[in-house]
Amino acid sequence: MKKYWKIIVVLIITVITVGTYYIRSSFASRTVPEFEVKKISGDEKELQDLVIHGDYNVNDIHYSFKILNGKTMNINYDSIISEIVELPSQFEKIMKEHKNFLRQKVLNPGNFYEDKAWLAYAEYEIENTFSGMTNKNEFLIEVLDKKTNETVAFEVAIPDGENYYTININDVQLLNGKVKVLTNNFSEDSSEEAHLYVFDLKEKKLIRDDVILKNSEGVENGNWTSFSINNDSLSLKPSEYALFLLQRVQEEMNENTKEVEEKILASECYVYNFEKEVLEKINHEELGMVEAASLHNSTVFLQNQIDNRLEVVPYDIETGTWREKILFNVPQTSENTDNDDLHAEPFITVLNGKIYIINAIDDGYSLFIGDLSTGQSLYEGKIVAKHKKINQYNDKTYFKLIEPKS
Amino acid sequence: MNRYLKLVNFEFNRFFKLYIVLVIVTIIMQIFAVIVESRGYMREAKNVIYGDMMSKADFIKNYEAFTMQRVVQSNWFYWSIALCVVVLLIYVFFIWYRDWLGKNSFIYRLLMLPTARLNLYFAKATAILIFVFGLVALQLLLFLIEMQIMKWIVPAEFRVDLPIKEYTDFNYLSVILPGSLIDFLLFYGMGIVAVCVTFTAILFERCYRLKGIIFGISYGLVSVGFFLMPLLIDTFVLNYYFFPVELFVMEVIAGIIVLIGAVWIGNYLLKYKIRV
Repeated sequence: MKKYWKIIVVLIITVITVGTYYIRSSFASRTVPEFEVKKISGDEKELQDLVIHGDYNVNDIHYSFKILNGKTMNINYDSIISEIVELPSQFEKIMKEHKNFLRQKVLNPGNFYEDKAWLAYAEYEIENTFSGMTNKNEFLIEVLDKKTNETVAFEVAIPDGENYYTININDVQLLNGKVKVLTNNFSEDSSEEAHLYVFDLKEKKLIRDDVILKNSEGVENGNWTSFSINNDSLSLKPSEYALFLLQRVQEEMNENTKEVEEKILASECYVYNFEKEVLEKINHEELGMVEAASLHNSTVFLQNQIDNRLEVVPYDIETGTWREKILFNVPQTSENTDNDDLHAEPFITVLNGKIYIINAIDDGYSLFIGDLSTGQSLYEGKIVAKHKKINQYNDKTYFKLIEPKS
Repeated sequence: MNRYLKLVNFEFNRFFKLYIVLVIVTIIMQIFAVIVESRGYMREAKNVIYGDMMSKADFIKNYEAFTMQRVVQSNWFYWSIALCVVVLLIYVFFIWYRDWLGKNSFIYRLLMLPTARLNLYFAKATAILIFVFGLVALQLLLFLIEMQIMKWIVPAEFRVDLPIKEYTDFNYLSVILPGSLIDFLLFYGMGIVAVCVTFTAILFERCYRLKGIIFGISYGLVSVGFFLMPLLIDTFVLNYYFFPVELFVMEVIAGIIVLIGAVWIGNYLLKYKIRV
């Protein structure tokens, strides 16, 4: 044995060191704290199957975290395996039942449509040769009949395709044997168009290409028009309407904080009906500017914040009437505080007819869930960081998305 | 088995002195890196705080607190690791060629040993692995020492102490210390395959000399090609037909086949074709 001492020492040190490193560095030894939602009032059920996404930064190290059912999800950040296996949650069920349909497709919820009988998919394909010539510029449409397991697939060249720099597919709907694809087309001259392409499944061809809206105003002196399609793009389920919001935005330097702020100069809001293929403008002049708009079933919610009051105005598309405006208190952030987090803007999102407001407070974040049809509070709680390791000016937490677990 | 262990020990001791030198040079370079970076940061802090009359809190806000990240990204630290990598890469070749050096080539005695010649192959591969893992362990131990040194130089209010993992995850160190045990096994498993393929390519050269160089290189290319085949076919022939999970499983299987191929061919060459 004496002969072997050197190799034995090296082996023992190696096994112990590497072993401890990998066994001890589990999720718990991470810098990212565990977040937990503590109830103050309301119904615990509101948190069920609710995913809150956020970012946690220390110096130049960034983490994304997810809170599910009020607790930080134990995601394995470390392994490449988790990246390989990861699948957007909307596709988990389809992957089990119709695996082959998902092959060779971009797994982006906006490109898919699903109801009880059908699965539909649309993709924008562009291929450029080395010399810059476009040799492929078309839509790929594929529809699966769930009962017979038969697939209809076809490719259609895009009319005037060469005029567009790129095309974003925003939503896919299937209505009476017709696939309707809502897109955002960007031209070389930075103008933007919303199109509806209608495909006939039987004849396997494009039957209509409608320009729904056009935004041709460019950037001038730091002001531009932002154009967004705010339908429920995360869901594959059928939807009747799409919502468009056009905002004229002015960039301004805030003298106090030395940060660039965006100011909305004008806003326009439109609703598009997929079945009737008509666009309706929502006249909201008397309400002032619209900061954000969202759609739930057949109700549009327009949001506008004035100081520490958030106004939400529901508009019923079917009857064309306004419902009573609802006011929410959003605590104004104070400037004289050491905690950098408190400068962060409140995070507000509207989902399935409920409003979610997350706000920085002294010892964590407040979470408010309100019902938009009644204006009542459904849940109030506090998001606190457990096992926080960094206790300095150096960490920052941002919330960025709230979505239902599908 | 006993013969194999003896051979491993023999190979280990042959390189041990040089290995110790490598370890000492690494330690010196990395500790130097910590001292230079920590002192540099504190000098800057003093200049800004006393020179520009900035408060400590403002300084940290504007310049970021000190973490080991700065040390890890410094040149001295980087080159210490590059040095170890290069030395071990050279030794993968030298571990074979040294046996043919000199007047009475040592390989003659090794090949005459009353044991399967494949043991020789395995012993050399094992020795390389022990050296690699030894250096990985050294890096982890050094981290602990370096963090202590950093704490002596940089006061607590200027630094953020993070677990070692945070320094290895987002840069070149993640190759040496992958994030999880599974990744560690995958990465170093791939390393083992690469070492064995290189060994077999070297044996081709040792068997057929000048012609063998061409055999060795072609064998290496075929191995790499075979390993990448699932990916290449999926990308160029099947137009991304497979899901990532399926490709991953195929790659693991391809890697295992390449490894078995390398050992099997290596065994054949050592047994029947080797020249002294």
